[in-house]
Amino acid sequence: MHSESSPERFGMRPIRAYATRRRLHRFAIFTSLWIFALIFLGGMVKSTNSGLSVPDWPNTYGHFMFFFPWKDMVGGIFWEHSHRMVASVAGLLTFALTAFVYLVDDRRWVRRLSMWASVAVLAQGVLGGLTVLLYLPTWVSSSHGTLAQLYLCMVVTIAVATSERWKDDIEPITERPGRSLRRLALATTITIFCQLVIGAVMRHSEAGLAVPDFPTMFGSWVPPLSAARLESANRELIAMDLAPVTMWQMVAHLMHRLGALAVTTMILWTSTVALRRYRDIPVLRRNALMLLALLVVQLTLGILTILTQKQPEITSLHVVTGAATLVTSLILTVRVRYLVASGAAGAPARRDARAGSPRKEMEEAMT
Amino acid sequence: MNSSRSLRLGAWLLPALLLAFALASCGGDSGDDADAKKPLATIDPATAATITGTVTFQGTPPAPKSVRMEADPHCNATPENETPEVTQEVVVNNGRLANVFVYLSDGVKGRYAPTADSVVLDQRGCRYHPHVLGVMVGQRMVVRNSDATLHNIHAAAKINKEFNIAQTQQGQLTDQVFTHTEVMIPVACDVHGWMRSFIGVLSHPFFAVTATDGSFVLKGVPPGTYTLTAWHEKYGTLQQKIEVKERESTAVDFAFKAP
Repeated sequence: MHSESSPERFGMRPIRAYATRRRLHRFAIFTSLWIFALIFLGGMVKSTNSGLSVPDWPNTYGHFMFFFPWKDMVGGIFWEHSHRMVASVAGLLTFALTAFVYLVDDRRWVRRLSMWASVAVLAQGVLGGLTVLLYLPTWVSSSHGTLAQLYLCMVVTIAVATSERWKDDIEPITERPGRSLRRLALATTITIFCQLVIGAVMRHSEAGLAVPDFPTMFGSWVPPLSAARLESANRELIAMDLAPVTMWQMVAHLMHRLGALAVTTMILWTSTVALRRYRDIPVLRRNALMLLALLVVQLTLGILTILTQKQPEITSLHVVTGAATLVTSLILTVRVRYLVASGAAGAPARRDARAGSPRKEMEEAMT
Repeated sequence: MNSSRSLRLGAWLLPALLLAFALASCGGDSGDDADAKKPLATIDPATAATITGTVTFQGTPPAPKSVRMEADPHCNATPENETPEVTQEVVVNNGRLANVFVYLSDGVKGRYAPTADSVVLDQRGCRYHPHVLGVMVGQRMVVRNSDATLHNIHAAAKINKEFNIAQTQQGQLTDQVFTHTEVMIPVACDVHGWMRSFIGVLSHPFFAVTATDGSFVLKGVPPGTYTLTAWHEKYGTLQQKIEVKERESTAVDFAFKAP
């Protein structure tokens, strides 16, 4: 049995554990912020259509990446090459984070997660290279955008798991009557993730402006899903100096709008439950409020993306805020799942029996 | 499924997915060889005719858009770019539409040997010259960088082999040859987002690009019945059935309308 503040209960080695864990936590936060910057740059690469401005990979115009002359960082090269440089640093940071975790954190699930983060950043690099060498196929580029979100989620989860809050907030709370916040938070995170995947596919299939007005669709409330409506829509797009679209692009765009509705519903539902029934737990209250604030910002940015005809900075901020919304929901999910026991407190869950699982560690800590 | 099995599965699944993506995307040069199987034809000067015409634009053309070249100081400083920049998408002069690719899309019998002369796609002042060009299957196209800055040349071909090449030096030349008929291939420089060009590749020499006065001439056309097509990057295609008689000049006009 460990005392409340003892580092052992978090799987840390006793020696220098507390200070070291704080460093690890800060390092994980720094890496997360770095990945946010990377995602913004990735958004700028797509928004400025700079993805192929550097035709070779992993070199840059024949130069070793880090020796590419600064004077040649012009036009699209600025965004694409910056993205590659920042991504390389993100890779190094992630490898360092994995090593750090293995050195100071004995929790098996955290170690595995850090290892998967390293695998993910490697795969990201390969996908980034493939999409350049294969001339930006929609599915490779979309996978690159999607894996970026998963990679960020892994690093953010490590940051959460190594925080002091992870220790302070472990109280054996029984889930309160009503709709399960554990399930709602998880469902919200999954919904947001699906919406980001749809967003990535829409973006990389050039369907972002398939419908150039909001909230109506070519002035109508009925989606243009018939051949005749599509033809008419394309005439309007051409008149607006926009590219005509296929039915597939139209569907992808409309699915993203529908997804926004689903995400809005889920976030409002989850936040309401959290604020009503777990108001007395500051960390959950803050989390729910943050989620609501991000929803407002994200919806505004989404609308502005359409109304400004995909102004690059606004579009990229929309991508980054989407990532922020996902990780905020993920943090809420993680916190709720380990702060709030499902059903009766202490009821054994199937995976509790697994050695090294977070639930087991928490129960040990609570003993 | 226990966690170690999940991990093992994941460890195999990720590279497998990557490989699948790579294989699925490596379509390569998928054009058919229909052109290659056609008999070789030659132009008979004794019977060859001419098709002439003008492409007009009806309605109000869109206002020219300015191009912001600040992203590359070289482009911004180029003397020919000191005038207000406009895009080359829709160029209308007195109701005449330039940069329209006019070609015989149907009725040509046989294939023609590529012209020995090469065509040049020049990058000058961070623009493509010409904006629209035609080239024969097998004909040499020289891509030239006349700028003191670097460019990438990305030809998003669907039937021919797609390419994305770099030109880092002023005066650099790169040869390209297209192997299949394809109308049109968009060409872009992703370093300078405003640079766009279009290439029409045909197995015969009966094509032209309208000049600034909207006029075009197709020379050496054998007598026969053809479909004449006019293509514009923004306004799509128009077609006419025409009959060309020996040694005569046939006049054909097209009129694109503002949407």
